[in-house]
Amino acid sequence: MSDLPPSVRRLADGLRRLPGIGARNAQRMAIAVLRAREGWPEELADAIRAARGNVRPCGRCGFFAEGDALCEICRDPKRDGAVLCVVETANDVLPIERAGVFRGRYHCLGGKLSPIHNVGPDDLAIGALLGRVRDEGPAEVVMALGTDVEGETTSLYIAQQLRSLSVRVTRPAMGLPMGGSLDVADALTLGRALQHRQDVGA
Amino acid sequence: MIRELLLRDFRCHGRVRLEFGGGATVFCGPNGAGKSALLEAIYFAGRLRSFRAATPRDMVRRGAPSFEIGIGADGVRLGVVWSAGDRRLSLNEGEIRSAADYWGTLPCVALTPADVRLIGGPAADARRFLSALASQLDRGALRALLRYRRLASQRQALLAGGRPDRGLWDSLTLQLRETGAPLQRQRRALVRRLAVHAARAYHEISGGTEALSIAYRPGSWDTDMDDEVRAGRTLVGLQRDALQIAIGGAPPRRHASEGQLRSAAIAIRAAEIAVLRAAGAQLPVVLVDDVFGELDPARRAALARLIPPEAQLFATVADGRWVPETLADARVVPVPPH
Repeated sequence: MSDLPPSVRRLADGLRRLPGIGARNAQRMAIAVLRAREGWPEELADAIRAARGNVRPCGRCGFFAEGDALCEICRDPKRDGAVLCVVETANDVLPIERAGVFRGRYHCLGGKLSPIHNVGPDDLAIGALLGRVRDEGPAEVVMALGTDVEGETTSLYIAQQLRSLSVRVTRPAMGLPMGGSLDVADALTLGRALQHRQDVGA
Repeated sequence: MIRELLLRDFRCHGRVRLEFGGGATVFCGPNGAGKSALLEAIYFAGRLRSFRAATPRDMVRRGAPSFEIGIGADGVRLGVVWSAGDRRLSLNEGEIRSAADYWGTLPCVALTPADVRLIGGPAADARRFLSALASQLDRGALRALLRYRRLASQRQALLAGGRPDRGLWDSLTLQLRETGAPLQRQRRALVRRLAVHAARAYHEISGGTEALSIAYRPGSWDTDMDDEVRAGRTLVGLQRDALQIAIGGAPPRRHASEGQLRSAAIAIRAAEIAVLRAAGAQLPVVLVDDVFGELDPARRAALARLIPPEAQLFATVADGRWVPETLADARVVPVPPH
């Protein structure tokens, strides 16, 4: 059985490392690159090189920033400095931004506490967060971490560390998914939702 | 009701396909013929573990890379494929990722000679029994238990790593309690129901006058980090739960006879079936492995009476004469030696 030439295989092998790309898809993508009439594959290669060279974590919040500048969110004067949203990784900023409701600033921890994986408080940007709360003096810190055991542990730990700094620590409400009926909600979620009831029409 | 059992490379069985009607099925054959393995396969498809002290690796037929169990029941098909490091579960041909979504589809209760460990054995056996029963009754309890176990292992890793960060220990302890305390309340209520059924069943099977009593002793939440660091493990919560069992008012470990222990073990399993039945959930499949043979005819008949007639029963016996008379219309399936 004959195979593609080595340089095409190398390209496909590289593409296969991207998340969600299997062997077949990688091969189809490699062939599409070869067949391209315009120069977009070269532009793509340039874009990859430029992004990898320029993008680094924002020196303040840890989100993606270009060069030595702060990220776009930290530089935006219209952002509300009174609310700081703590997320696990820079990726987690995007879904919150897409929701279009939050207008404050962010702080990316770079992971979550997990003794099993040997990740302790010193391995995360927790010290930097405490420093920012002291310097920037936000009124509220929102812990937008996952609701798994590690996310909750990290939220509780940070809330405890922030206790002496007279800042309100909150987290996104937990409850019923929009458009769902009661019998599809699991007991833990339903229990939380009933604990944190809201006034109707408020 | 189970209509069909398919096996590949499970224990000594290469390929097996068995069909069942309603009522009782008794597998009859000499030791080592693989009749217990048939019950074990049904149990594994239901609970994802063995009722014997065995790991899935022990259940792979010698020389084979994996085993497969398929069950066709009313309205549902279950599939398990196990190979080293990989377990695939399916429901109605669709793959199931999380065991929590699979568990409880085929409730099973197994009666085995090893059940006496529930009474005289290590407290861990009684805890496992309670966890499994609570999880069969309520999938939410299973999810909460999985979360609890994750918390416990995070806490264990923290304690094993030398001097823990106090704040991190506090955060994990708080959650352990928040997750564990509601589970303990559930278990307390569950054991209360279980005890009523077990007392009745014990009376039926022993014919005696002494009473079987069961009480739940929840593990305390009082804890001290230094004590736990010294011990190197968690000293609170569900890991410290115990079942306090007494026969005729006395703790059985020292005072009970072999016959009393056996009767009490059967009574607890009968109570497990009764609790599942009363909860209005699906009636469990009842698996009786090698138990009829070790009972005298009176207790054999009593056990047969304790199993609800509408429950599907699978039993193993080495000798056809051990089938209780009340199960006279059972289908006896000979399992020849290999």
